[in-house]
Amino acid sequence: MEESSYSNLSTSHLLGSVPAVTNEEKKASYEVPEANMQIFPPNNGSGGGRGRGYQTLEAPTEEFEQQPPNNWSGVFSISSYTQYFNVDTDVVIYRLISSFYPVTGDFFSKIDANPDLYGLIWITTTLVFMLASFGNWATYLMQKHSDGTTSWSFDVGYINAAAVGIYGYAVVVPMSFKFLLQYLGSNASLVRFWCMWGYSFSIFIPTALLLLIPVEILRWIIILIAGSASSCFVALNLKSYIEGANDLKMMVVAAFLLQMALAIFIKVWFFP
Amino acid sequence: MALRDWDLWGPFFFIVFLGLTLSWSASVKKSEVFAVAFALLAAGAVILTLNVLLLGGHIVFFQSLSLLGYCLFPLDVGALICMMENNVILKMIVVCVTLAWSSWAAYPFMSSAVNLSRKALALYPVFLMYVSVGFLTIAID
Repeated sequence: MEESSYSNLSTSHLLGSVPAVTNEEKKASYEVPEANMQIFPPNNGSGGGRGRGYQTLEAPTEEFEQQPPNNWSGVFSISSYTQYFNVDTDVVIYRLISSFYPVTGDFFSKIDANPDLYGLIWITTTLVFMLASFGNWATYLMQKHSDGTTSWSFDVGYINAAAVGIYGYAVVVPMSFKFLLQYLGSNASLVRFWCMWGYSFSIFIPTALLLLIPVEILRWIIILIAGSASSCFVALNLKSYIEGANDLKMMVVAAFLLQMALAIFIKVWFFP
Repeated sequence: MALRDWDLWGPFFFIVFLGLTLSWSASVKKSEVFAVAFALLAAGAVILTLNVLLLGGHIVFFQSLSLLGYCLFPLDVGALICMMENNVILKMIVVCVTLAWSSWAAYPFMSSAVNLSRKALALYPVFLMYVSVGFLTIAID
């Protein structure tokens, strides 16, 4: 049986490489780029030939690995930050969708090999824009709904408040959790915390759209649901990341409460 | 290609003109409106270029700044038209048309700079910036 299957294989795609004695040799050479994430730039599926060429250059990549802790010249060059943006569109969409269902606390295992800061930056920027624009639109609708007068004018201060609030929260809170965890003994990765908190804001984006409805009680229900979903996401993932000492439960509760406070701040400031 | 002769005078003029137009149309907080519009556009162009570079794309920094600035021209025209009249529906139509024109102008350059699997990641922020400027144009009265 096996002889017949071997003779039926088309080997035209193996031209130029060492003709495969067995099929396993080809599979082995394919496994290497998947397993080793240390190679820079990593090998995408589309850059197959180029990627293999980069694989042979072992020395420069190792130098690159050791460079950041030794000298500061890596801070001002783009290439030292490219490793945090090494995601494709479908990866980002997959992470976004998985952040909408906060039931399983396995986000960290999904991003473990490749945390990205793309989600953090652009989700927070989108949220700032949505809060500023929909907040203004919502106050316009509320005024029309209740007064019928048109004394409304666009409040540019919403953009400033949204930017300071959202960017400040997104940068400071993961940093403070990381330093607190490090002070208490267990090590924590700042990039992964930033990534997780960044994706936790994605629930607020459709919420901002829904908060346009000018009915007060409905707005409170919507923001409470969204706030608890986002807080559960943060709390469950943090719990599964810490998974150890018992006295760190306070941190999980604190994270939950902070995210709820952010949700309530969004409602009270932008959609009063 | 014409892109090799990049310059920043055009983008500077377009950004300042857009800020001025939005500021003139605003009834309150005029200087804040100008500041926000200018900062949004200038910082936005730089950040968009950095975004493409960080995603592993191949563009020249100043060429991209120059192109993103020149692509603001339709939005400038739209803002000028919106300043001169007050009907919200008409403003929305004008802004939608000019927004589509700006995005159509910036799309080929940005999409050819990155890997095919990351095209949407590079184009989304451009779209976000133009939509936010368009929204400012409609909402300010």
